[in-house]
Amino acid sequence: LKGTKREGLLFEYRARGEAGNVLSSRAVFIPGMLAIVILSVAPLTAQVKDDHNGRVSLPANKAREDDSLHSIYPKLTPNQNPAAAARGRQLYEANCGFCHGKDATGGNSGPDLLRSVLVNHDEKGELIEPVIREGRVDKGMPKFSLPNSQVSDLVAFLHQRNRDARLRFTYKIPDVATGDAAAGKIYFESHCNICHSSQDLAGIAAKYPGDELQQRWLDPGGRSAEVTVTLPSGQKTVGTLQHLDEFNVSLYDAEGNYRSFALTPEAKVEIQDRLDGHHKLIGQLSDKNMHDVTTYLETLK
Amino acid sequence: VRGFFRLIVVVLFPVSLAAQNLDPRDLVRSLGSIWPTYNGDYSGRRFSQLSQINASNVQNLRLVWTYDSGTLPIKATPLMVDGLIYFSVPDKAWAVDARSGRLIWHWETKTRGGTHIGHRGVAMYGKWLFLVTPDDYLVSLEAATGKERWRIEIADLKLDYFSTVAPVIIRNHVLVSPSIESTDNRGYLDSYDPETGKLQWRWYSTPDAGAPGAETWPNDEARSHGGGAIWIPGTYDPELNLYYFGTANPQPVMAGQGRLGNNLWANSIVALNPDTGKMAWYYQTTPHDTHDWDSAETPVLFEAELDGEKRKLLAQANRNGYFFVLDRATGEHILTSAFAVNNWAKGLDAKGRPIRDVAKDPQPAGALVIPSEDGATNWFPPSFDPETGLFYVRVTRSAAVFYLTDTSDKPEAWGGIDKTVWRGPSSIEAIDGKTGKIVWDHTTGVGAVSGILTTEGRLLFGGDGSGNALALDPSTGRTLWHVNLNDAMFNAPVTYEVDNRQYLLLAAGGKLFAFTLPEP
Repeated sequence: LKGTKREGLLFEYRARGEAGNVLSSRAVFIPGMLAIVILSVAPLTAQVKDDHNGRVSLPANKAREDDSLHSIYPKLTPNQNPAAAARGRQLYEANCGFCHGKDATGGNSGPDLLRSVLVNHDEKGELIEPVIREGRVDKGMPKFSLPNSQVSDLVAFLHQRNRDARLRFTYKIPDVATGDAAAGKIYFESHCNICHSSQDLAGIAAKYPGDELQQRWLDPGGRSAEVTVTLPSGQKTVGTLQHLDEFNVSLYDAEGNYRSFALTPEAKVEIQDRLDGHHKLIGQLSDKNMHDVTTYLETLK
Repeated sequence: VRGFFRLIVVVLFPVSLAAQNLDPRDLVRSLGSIWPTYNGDYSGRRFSQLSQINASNVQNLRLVWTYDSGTLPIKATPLMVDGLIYFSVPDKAWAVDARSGRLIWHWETKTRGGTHIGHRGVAMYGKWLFLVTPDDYLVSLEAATGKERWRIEIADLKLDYFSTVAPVIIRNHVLVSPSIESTDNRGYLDSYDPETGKLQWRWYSTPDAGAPGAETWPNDEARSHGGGAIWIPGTYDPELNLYYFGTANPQPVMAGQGRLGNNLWANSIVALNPDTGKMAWYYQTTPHDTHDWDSAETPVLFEAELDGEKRKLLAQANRNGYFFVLDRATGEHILTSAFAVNNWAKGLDAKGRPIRDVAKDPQPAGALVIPSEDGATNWFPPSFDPETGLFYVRVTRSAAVFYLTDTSDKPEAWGGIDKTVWRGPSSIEAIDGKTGKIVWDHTTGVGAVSGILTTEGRLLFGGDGSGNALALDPSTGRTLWHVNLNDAMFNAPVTYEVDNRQYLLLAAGGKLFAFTLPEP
């Protein structure tokens, strides 16, 4: 949690639109603020979110991802050679899948190899290889005489399979455009047309593939709020909201100057967030609406 | 002359005469001048009887020392016994002087691996400390010097178990448990001998084959890899001799189709006898969880009069958004109330358990769920003030789209993923322990994760999402004092007394900050 990374996050904030009004509670103690503008501040969390039990999510950026991954999982099993793991999968499916299941998660006669103590204790084939070669004849597993290179490909497949199952940010989200595009168009035209049209969103499906499109339209992110601070003297300052907490508010004005104010009971803060419409939708959308709109947006290639 | 000399020694070296020692019987007392265990005392209330710092003078608090550990955020609750403060992060522990913050010793170990996500702190027994490491050792240190005494393995690191919990000492039992993030393992709680490190008993979070509860799993394979890790130190009632703790989600985490059924005792509040490891009762807060909403949050013990009868109660504000009150002698359900908005439950069943809307299980094209996997609260320590009768909890607000990525009959690990689409403001909320009604709610911005401390001085301490430490009026939630430490508070404030002076000890990022009142 070094300064620069944290400062980056300080510029990020989310407004509480009407979804917030629905989702959050009453009796809020922020002196001088209008009831409608209770607003967030940037989370002071590290780029690797680990602020709850053992649940790790990682940034999209590859270099940061590697750093983050190793700070959280030192000595993590490394990625295998992709070609070896791919060959290993073919060999696995041909030789092992019948008993151990096509994804190594166990079958009618063979155990789950992702949960296997032996496979998990193996590092480079030293435990797996003897089992392949000798079999477990007493338990019905035959011997396999495979060349060394094929054994090591099988080992690579099993370790890669295990790693991928463990690291959920590697999971692939299947097709999200499963809704009704026509119904999505109707929803779009009645809920989103205040700010958007199919023209200004032309090409959005090409820009953001699949689940990223769904994520983006639900939560576009970025800085979006304009703030007006009115002091007891009547003096108003308008700018882009930079930070707000219970005690201070700050903004960048039109000239690019940084301005901050103490939140006294007499000061008024009004916030207009152009993403309010998106935040409001979160509290209203049915899953059908969500799938329909995503499917409609998928047509805007 | 001898007497005079002794007097001088006492004045000059008060710490050296009070050897670092904790009698396990001291843990039974209510929280006062020392902070000898994760929650301060066994009740989990984090309510201190100290009142030198109080609502009338909190504005005068001043910083007396800081200590920069130069490392990760401190998520551990520090202990303070005999003038020394003990705290930890994964693979590291420190002792600093409670009066000055001066470093006394630092211990560090080279890791074999394991998930390095957090560390809840150390425990003390006699002159020894106990802590776990991410690579699954239970380590005993000499409290005065930090010298390692012994270490034993408590879990199989290669199976992806790792350890974060602060041990709890009950008489001669050291209670510890490994954590599970993704690999499909079976959770458990162990009891070790504090002298020898010998295992006394092990309790598994899923039933043995054929035992009551096994019928809540479709088969032995699912049951014996069913998760239910115990992440957070529990609480203890010495009169009933019952230890209370929560269990985490079942495995695989988000894809439930391979483990149809209620999945006991995952996502449950459990009471067991610490001498035998035998379960007295359980209450499941989320049957068949598919959103990673651990029931790990601290079960807080308090007494209240209900229908004219004084009852021993237990309350938990759960990650699933519901507040539960149980009779802690029997496990009888008293009440359930929602303390945050959700869209995943269709109501409550006859036992007060939320009824899950299966449409809000993770879906291949996504299901929009409130809250996100983060939950309505999490490991952040709550507090209960017996004078207000209010339970205080850190509330977080969010929404996420939950995707089912593994649609096979036998999913593994997570089998799904959620993507957050809305982060709302966090808050500190006060809930009436007898009725479950929300009495006040103090908003603290996005991202606040600190826990809570209350005191006899009619004060509540916590933090917001902007690096501010706050003192609030526990009756109304009104702000009485704040200081910006400019870093996130990942643990809960603690308080202690040395030389008749009360200290408030805060952690922000990797630093400790100690406050007192000006000298009289």
